[in-house]
Amino acid sequence: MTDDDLILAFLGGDRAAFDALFERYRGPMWNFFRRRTPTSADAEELAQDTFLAVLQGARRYEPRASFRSYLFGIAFNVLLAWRRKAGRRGDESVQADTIAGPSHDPSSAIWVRDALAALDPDDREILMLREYDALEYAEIARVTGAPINTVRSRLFRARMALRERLAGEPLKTGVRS
Amino acid sequence: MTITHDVEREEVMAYLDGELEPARARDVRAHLDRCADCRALADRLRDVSLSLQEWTVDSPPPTLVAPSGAPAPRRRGAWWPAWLALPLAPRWIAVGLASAAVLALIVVVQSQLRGRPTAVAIGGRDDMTAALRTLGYASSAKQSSAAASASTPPSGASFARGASPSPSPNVQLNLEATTDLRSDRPADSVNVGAALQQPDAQMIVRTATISLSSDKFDDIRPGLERVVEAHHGSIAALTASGDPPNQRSITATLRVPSAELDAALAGVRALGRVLQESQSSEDVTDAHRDLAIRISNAKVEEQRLDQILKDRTGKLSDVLSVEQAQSRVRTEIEQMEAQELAMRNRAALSTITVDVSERYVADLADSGPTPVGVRLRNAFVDGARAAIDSAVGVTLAVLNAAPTLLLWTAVLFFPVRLTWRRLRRSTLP
Repeated sequence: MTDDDLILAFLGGDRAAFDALFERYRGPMWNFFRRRTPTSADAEELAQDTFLAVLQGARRYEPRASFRSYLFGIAFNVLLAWRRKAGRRGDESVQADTIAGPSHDPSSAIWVRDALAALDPDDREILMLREYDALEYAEIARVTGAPINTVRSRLFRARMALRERLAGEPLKTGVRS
Repeated sequence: MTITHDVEREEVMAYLDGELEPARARDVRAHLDRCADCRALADRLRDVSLSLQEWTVDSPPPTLVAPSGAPAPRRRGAWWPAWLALPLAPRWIAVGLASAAVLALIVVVQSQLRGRPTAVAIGGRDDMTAALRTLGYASSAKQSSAAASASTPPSGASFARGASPSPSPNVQLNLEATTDLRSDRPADSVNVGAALQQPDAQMIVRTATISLSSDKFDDIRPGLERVVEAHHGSIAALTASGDPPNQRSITATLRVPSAELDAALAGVRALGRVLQESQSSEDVTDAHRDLAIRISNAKVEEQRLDQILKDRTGKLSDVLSVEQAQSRVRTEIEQMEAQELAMRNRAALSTITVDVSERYVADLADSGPTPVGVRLRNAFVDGARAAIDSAVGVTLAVLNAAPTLLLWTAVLFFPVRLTWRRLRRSTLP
């Protein structure tokens, strides 16, 4: 069954359809938040909030775009709201350009994360949506609200910038060939 | 061999991401086969993607489970997506509520200050007027009666002159020939005290404008007459224009008692199809009260002048001065009373302006074709007029700009010529 079939079945009262959607996107949502929050507790909470928002707003869902971009759109806004809230609290560990903390990461990935952290926040977000969340350009445009040509040019710029940063530190990590 | 780069670098990236149309993807593929630079770019992009995959994250924890519940019912009026509502900052809601509370507090404090009783010391006629205003002509009867002295009759207001504790003569303000503010009907005698005890008394001048369209135009005038007769009003003005088969119209001004304005309007509406309607009201309560106070003060002054004339002991010139002053005060009183009467009439009788146009249907039968000769002549005349207008317009534009152009030509001619000559000399070998 497609995502749209499942969400429509859920609207028809089939709770199992929502559970199926949840299982389908549990991993992607976790990965999305885990790479963007400093702790796994934060990631879990935000993923939970996202699915809760889907549950509560399901009646307003209209299959104009893919459910996937709809879901990531919610997740993206949940993330932005969380960052704003943390900023108001003065939580310095969570800044607008925060990505995951170093804990549990293999040493080979630290330099990748550091290179990502040095990118422009908007460019980095688009790059991560493409590389880690495997969204298409059009889906990224819907999620971020940017025109699709902007998405493409930003993505290219981010990749080139990342390439330059990674090329400057090959010995530090020993990962790249 | 020279390679022509007919693909953009971003297109190489889009090709690798599978984001190109099939035809364009084939072009890029072909280009990559023959362009080493673009192949190198593609390799670098692949390297970046491979490098990024080095960063992996843990598996989702088992505690991440699907939330329970059913789809929430759609909120009425909530047309935006759910996720748009989530980032709303409660702080801004709090700021909005706090602003509204502060605004409400300011309004309440201002209204309280406006209604506060004030002790008044009166030194003259102007002070009396000010005192009446300060004591809240428009405020509560309780405040007004508190301000009045205990010896004041219920129907009048009195104010102690001077601030000294010694007994002072009281000035009785009897505002005869003003208006009964409790109703719209004219009154022969009313006093300020009664008015002060009527905090809700208001004089509202109401007007209404209504535009109608009617198929039965001949019935409009009798209909308007019926309306004003039924509601005890009158037609103040009526203008009819137009001649069949052309469209006809009637403009009428009706005066009806304010209490019957709504009923009269309903009657007018029934005469045709309403195209436009508007109503307005003007509160003249304060203006009327000020006028009443000025009248009362003038009458007090007139009485005092009468008393002076009765007890005259001075020189003849003094007596003449007093008589002149008395004449001036009497004129002022009459003028103000006329104004006051007009104001009462405006409040008592509302004005309805009615515009009725006949529903116009063009009748081709009555308008025969215009003869060709007439049309040619008219076209020629129009063309000649347009040509003349054009010539006149150009002439006017030239005449309009000429003085300014001449002035600046005269001012700038020699400096420009001098500069030009110097430049030319400097460029010559």
